Amino acid sequence: MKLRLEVSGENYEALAAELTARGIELDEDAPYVLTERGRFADSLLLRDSETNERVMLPVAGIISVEAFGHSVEVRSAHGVFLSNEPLYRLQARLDPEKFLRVSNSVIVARAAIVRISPALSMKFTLTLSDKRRVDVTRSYYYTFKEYMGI
Amino acid sequence: MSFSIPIFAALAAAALALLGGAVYLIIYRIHINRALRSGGGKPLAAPGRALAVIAVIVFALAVFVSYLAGYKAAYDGFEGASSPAVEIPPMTLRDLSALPELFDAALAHVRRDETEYGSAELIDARAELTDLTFLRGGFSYFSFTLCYDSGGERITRSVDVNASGAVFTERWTQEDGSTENSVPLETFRRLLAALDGVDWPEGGDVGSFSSLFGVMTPESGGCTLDGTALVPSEPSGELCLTLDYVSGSELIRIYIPAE
Repeated sequence: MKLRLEVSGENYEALAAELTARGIELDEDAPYVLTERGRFADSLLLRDSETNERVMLPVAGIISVEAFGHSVEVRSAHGVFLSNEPLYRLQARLDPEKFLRVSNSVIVARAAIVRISPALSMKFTLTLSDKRRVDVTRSYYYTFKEYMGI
Repeated sequence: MSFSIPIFAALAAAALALLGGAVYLIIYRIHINRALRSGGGKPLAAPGRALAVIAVIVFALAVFVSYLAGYKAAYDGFEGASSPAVEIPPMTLRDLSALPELFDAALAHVRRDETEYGSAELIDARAELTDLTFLRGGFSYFSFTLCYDSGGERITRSVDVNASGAVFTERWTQEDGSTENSVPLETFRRLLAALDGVDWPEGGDVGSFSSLFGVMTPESGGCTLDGTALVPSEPSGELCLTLDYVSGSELIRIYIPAE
């Protein structure tokens, strides 16, 4: 059986040894994840969109996560990366204090929002730190207002 | 092109609502971006909701202002209609020399009013004296009915002038606007001028001239309009329109040869 282990650094070694001793193989691409309650990922294992190399991208550098059909693009100041995980699963791994779903296909980092433009039609347009603009759709309008305290 | 007050008010309200919405949107934008930098702030109403509230308030105000404006316009119109419209010349039952002048002033008022319907020209105009009343010898009331062609229709218009000079008229159209006892305007003027030459007896507080319905043949004891004067009537077979002067028990019948 293969597991991916997502725990804090101080617990990692002990848990890894315990699991390995029980015959469980640790693999970053494993279909199952073992994690700690209330813990969110510090980094994500992604593929570089140009070289297709596997990279560990620190979550702090993420600007947005956007789904295009079955592929998910993670944008950061360092470039664009691809993930094999669906958007909802990535959202679960990201700290909701720092990341917010703004539409069915987009998650943005709060720290990456540079400007908010309101519209009369229950919509916000966000300008992100990489100059891109994304819309907060009607379904996420009030969640966004509450989250931002506006 | 002119707008009526309600349309203007509605347009102004729409413009104000849009302006209010735009201003709120700007304020809201500043607020949320300030909140973004400071990490949160006091929530404000969504712009769409604010616009709806502003629109309701502005339109309610517009309705209220329109109501007041309409009320004022109607009241001004009423005041204008009931305020003195003609100058009443000095006139008593003993001295009726100014009566044609009063008639002309009232006629000028009718012409001004008629311009609203297209033309001040009163074609084939005829008039009938409805009422000319004096109270204790002083002028009290002058009322006549006009009928004329205007804009391809036969118009009938009642004209009433009270002692303070206020003119009240009512205008309506009908198939045959000629009143039974009407005479051409020129004859009507001659009749009014001729009334001045008679010493009308005062049998009571009120002395009044009013026309009778239908035509009659003259009898003695009355007056007949002859040119520009009233002369004692004599029995004849000529058909005449008639006018009665009544004051208390005094009655004088005035015959006007039918034209």
